[in-house]
Amino acid sequence: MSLAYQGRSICNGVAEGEALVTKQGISFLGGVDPETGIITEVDHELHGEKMAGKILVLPSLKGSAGGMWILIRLAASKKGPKAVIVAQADTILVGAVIIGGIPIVDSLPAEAFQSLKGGDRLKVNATKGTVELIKKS
Amino acid sequence: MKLTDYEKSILAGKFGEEAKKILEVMVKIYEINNAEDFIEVKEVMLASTQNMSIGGEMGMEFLSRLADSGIQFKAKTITDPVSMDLEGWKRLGIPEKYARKQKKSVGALMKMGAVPTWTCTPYLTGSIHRYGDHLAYVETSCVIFVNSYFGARTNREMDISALASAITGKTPNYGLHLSDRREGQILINIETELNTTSDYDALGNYVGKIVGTRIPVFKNMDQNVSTQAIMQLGAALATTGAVALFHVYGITPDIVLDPFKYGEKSITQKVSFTNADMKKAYQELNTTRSTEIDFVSIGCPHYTIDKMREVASYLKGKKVKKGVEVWVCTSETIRNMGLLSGEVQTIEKSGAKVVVDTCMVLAPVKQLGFQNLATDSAKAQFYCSGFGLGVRFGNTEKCLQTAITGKWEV
Repeated sequence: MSLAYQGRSICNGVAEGEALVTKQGISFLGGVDPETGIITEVDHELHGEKMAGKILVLPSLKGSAGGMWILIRLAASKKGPKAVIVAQADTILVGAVIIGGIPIVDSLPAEAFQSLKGGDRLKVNATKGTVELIKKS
Repeated sequence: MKLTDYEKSILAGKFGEEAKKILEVMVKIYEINNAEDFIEVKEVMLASTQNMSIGGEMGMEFLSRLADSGIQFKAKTITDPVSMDLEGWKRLGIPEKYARKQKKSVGALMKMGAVPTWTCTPYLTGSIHRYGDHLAYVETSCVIFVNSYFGARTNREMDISALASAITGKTPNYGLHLSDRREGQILINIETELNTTSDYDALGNYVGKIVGTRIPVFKNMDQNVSTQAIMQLGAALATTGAVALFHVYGITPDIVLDPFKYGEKSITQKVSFTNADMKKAYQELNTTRSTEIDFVSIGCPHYTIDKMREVASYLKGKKVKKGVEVWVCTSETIRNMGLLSGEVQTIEKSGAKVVVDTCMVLAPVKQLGFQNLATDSAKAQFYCSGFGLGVRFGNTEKCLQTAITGKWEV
């Protein structure tokens, strides 16, 4: 029996994949390569990681509102995350996921962010607002 | 949530996929912020270059399809600068292909009824707001200026949410639209003399790094501070911090009207700004050791007429060093004023260029081949460093002196 968390749906859609987890905010403008989806911010704990095909788990976005367009472009070229799990969605993220059509869930219980680890296999049902842990890393 | 029949028809797809998604974003922002109602906005400001430069082909296509749907802006909608001087792009060395793309996006905005201001300081040339007016602005230096100096109210919007306000004439009522969300949270006591406008850049740069998302309150500021200095302070603050509002004792309206609510009630930290802090800020704002400067650009945010007069007075009878490109950036309205009074001619006679509709932050300065920039703006320093230029930061006079000699004096 897999573990499931209930959150809030922001944008409809379903995705399954490997989790890419960070406790730090991400700035898509200046912090992520718009062509490859690789995290380029030097001081970031995910520096050098690719987000393509992953389920990105993060607390929030940071930096310029222009970052919204980077995420939209990455979604269109399939170099972006398959789905996003965020502690608290903000205006920039809402714009990006709706225009880019990326499933996203926020407001999960706090223990979800404690227990989700990079490499976990997750199933995100953004329509229902649920995140299912299929296999631990 | 109350939506009009017109808004419902947009959500149902009457004006195509782009307009539908824009309104879906507005509805979502309303929901996640637990807004209780919508409020009418008096004016919207779009940062149209976000579509063009950052959004690339996708951003431009999005805007073109939106315009082709036949939709019209309901709110008065003004525009931030674009990535080139719309008439004088050739003399800035902008390639023709680049110019064509810019003009296509400009055309799309005009088609939807935008007022073509192409400036980051529209509050100098017509967008004068009253205390408590509700707006939806994107340009961060403008958001912070109108919130603080006029006591108008806007959140830090982004492209899509601002387009939603342009189309519907309203915005969800949350955040800085509410008085209780505007209280100062951190007090900055100024303990040094601030002389030039770039001293206010240094102050904003320093304080922005400390405050993060909190609202700063400044105490002991010169009560005769110029509007240009307040512009520089705000632009710098909004660059290093996620700040959309500040209060200044004796100067900005929220705190003048209610010093306890905005200046004391929610303060949880007090810091001082000393002469040593100022020196540190100036040091950190110099990101190259090179003294060879090939690009001098001032006017970020776009200069006032006062600043244009100051520049003309310095450059009168002097010649810019060969090999140094000099941009004095302002709005078209201020440029025209300067043409009538002769300041623009004086500046251009020296070899410097008065540049409008754009600036060193938005034009493709790296592609134009510039190596080392000298500027009097902390905001320009931050972004141009990010583009890979070496940057020297100093006051306006020092930048102009560098324009004449080609050397940054250390």
